[in-house]
Amino acid sequence: MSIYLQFHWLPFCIAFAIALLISFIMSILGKNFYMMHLVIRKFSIVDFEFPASAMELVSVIKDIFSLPGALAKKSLQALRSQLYLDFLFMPALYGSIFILSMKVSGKMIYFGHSLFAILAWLQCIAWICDIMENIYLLNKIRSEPVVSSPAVHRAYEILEVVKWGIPLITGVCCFAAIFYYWLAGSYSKNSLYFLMITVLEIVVFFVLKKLTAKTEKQNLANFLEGSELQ
Amino acid sequence: MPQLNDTKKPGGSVLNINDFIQNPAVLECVSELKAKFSNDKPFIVSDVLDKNGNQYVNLVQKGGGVLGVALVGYTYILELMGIRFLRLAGTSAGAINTALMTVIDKKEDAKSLSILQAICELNFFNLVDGHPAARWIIKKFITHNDFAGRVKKWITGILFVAAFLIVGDFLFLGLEHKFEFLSILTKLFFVLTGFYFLVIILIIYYVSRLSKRLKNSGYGVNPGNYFYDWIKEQLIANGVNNVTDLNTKASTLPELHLRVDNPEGTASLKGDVTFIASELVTQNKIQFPDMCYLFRTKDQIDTLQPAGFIRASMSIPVFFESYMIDNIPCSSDEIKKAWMDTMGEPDPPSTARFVDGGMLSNFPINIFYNPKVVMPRLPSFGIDLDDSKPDETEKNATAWSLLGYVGRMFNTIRFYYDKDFLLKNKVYEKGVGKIPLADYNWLNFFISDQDKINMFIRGAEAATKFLKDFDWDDYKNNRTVMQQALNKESTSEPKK
Repeated sequence: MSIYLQFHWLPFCIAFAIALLISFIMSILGKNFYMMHLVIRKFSIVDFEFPASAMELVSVIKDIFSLPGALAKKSLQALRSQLYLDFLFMPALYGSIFILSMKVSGKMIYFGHSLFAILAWLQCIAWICDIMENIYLLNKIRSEPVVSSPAVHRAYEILEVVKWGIPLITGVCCFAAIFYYWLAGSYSKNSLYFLMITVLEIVVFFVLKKLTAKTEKQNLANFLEGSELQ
Repeated sequence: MPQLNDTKKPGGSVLNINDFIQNPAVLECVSELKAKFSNDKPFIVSDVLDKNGNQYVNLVQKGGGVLGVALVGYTYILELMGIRFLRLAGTSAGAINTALMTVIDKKEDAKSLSILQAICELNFFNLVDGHPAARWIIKKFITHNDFAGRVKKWITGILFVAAFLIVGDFLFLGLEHKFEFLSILTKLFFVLTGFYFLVIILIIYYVSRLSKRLKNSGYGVNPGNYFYDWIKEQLIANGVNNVTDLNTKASTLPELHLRVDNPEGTASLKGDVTFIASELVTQNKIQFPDMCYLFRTKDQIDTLQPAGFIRASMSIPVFFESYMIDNIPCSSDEIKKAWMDTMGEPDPPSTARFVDGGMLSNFPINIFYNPKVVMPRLPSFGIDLDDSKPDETEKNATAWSLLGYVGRMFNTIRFYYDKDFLLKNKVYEKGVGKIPLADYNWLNFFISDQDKINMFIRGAEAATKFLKDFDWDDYKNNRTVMQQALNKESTSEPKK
């Protein structure tokens, strides 16, 4: 049985568009990511993914709960929504990388053919790690979070490295290979349309981000709207 | 509560008090002093005594990071000679020792051994409680003399490899049209280049995350939470839970009497403690706990945690996060009046942000100056941590690097406040002992146990030298003459 699957470019464009759309929604939710660490400060999901220590992860969660009632609720709601939305983001992202890698594998011969097919299937492992990460964080986010044991925290760190490492390595290998085929002129005319669609999707994504971008001060003012701290 | 790790000696045993006080150099200091002062030549440093014969002085301790270990060596010798402390003040590391000397046991008890015990149980590196990457960089910068040079070499190497890969990509891409077998190598080079740039992008992203994190944490690399928890634990273990407890502990005195008559008597003698911190929002020097009334109304004073005062005093800018006091009732009339009367500030802040008191007054001996006392009953002692290096370039006004130039400007501003007081009141210098510590780095939280012992010895030796040279009668006379002259000057002023 072959591990190689054949795909058209269209499913890639669709999956990639969905990933960008969900990413855009998640960035809007991220505008309400605030915590109270002596003063109100911004945090990002990366603070949860790569905390300096098990203690720091707990400190960030506690700091969110330290916000005045309504604001803590607002920040927590945004955080939880983003984590739930991430479950939809995962198949779109890992799916698009999977298809991309299979497409590159199809262009390769010998070792390269197998390598890119394996890289494509490895996305399943990254996806599982991402699901485990989200479940871990959703369980952790409570008013009195428990500091994980060193072994559990170490496992969480490894999970993060695997989750980020696999798609990044695959993405870079695919990009390098596609770049090579581009420079070598080894591509079909038909694939150019899909390349244009992909570029267009990226441009729309950044234009939307730019249109909704606000200064840190404006974001904080929006977050505080209606609260006593305004 | 963090676990305090025992500091281990190379052999695996735990550092203990005897490693400090039983050291031959320290024992030599003790025997020297005992030999110098006997029944024929009694040891006199003050006119204020308790019933056990302890002599009382005021003490100010200078800030200086880990050099603070030397302060304990100094105070150990003073206490061993029967000296106790009425009023205490300190900045930064000096504030830490001052705090412990205030809260441990009673005024008439010696405290240095308990402080040494606390030092033995404290792993200094735990105080550097920032992000692992920041800890690594700090460690490399402090322990490697030419770390900046090495970083420069790494950057050059990174750029060279990037250029090599890009050139390789183009070279093999061009060659494979003529030599088809090279296409495998071309693809490999492209993938390697991709990997390489991925790593560089990740490093850049990580560095930008760290700098964003630095900004979010108020431009402090280390949160200082470990220190805060540690000092709070020390205070609570000694019965100091709030500001009232701290003030009570600092002001509770044994029965005192004077060696010789003095018009002031003993009634006006009081004990207190002062920690210096720099407040950045209103740009003021704050004396804790005396100025607590600026941050809380009288009935709410005990909502402030005294550990925070010491944490504020030792917040070395950038190295530690600033300490903040928030929820200041800035709209209350009591607070408004307090700020106006004390600082001339009509608009009190709702949050105050503190950095190291050493920014403004690293050696606050001026707070013991009392113009009402003409003839002193007790001296003001000071412990100066002297880490200035005998470097020729320092004296050469044209030989400084940009960093050296900025450093000189910064230090001129930083030190002049205290220097100005000592220049105008030279007699106070007679009470100051200097501990030479030029060969130690004040930020080296990775110091070995042997270095801790050596610094303690330096402190003990400096105290020994100081006590051998100190002449109470001479000090008293000089201060009396100085004060009389100053008082005369001020009374004759209106006539002019």
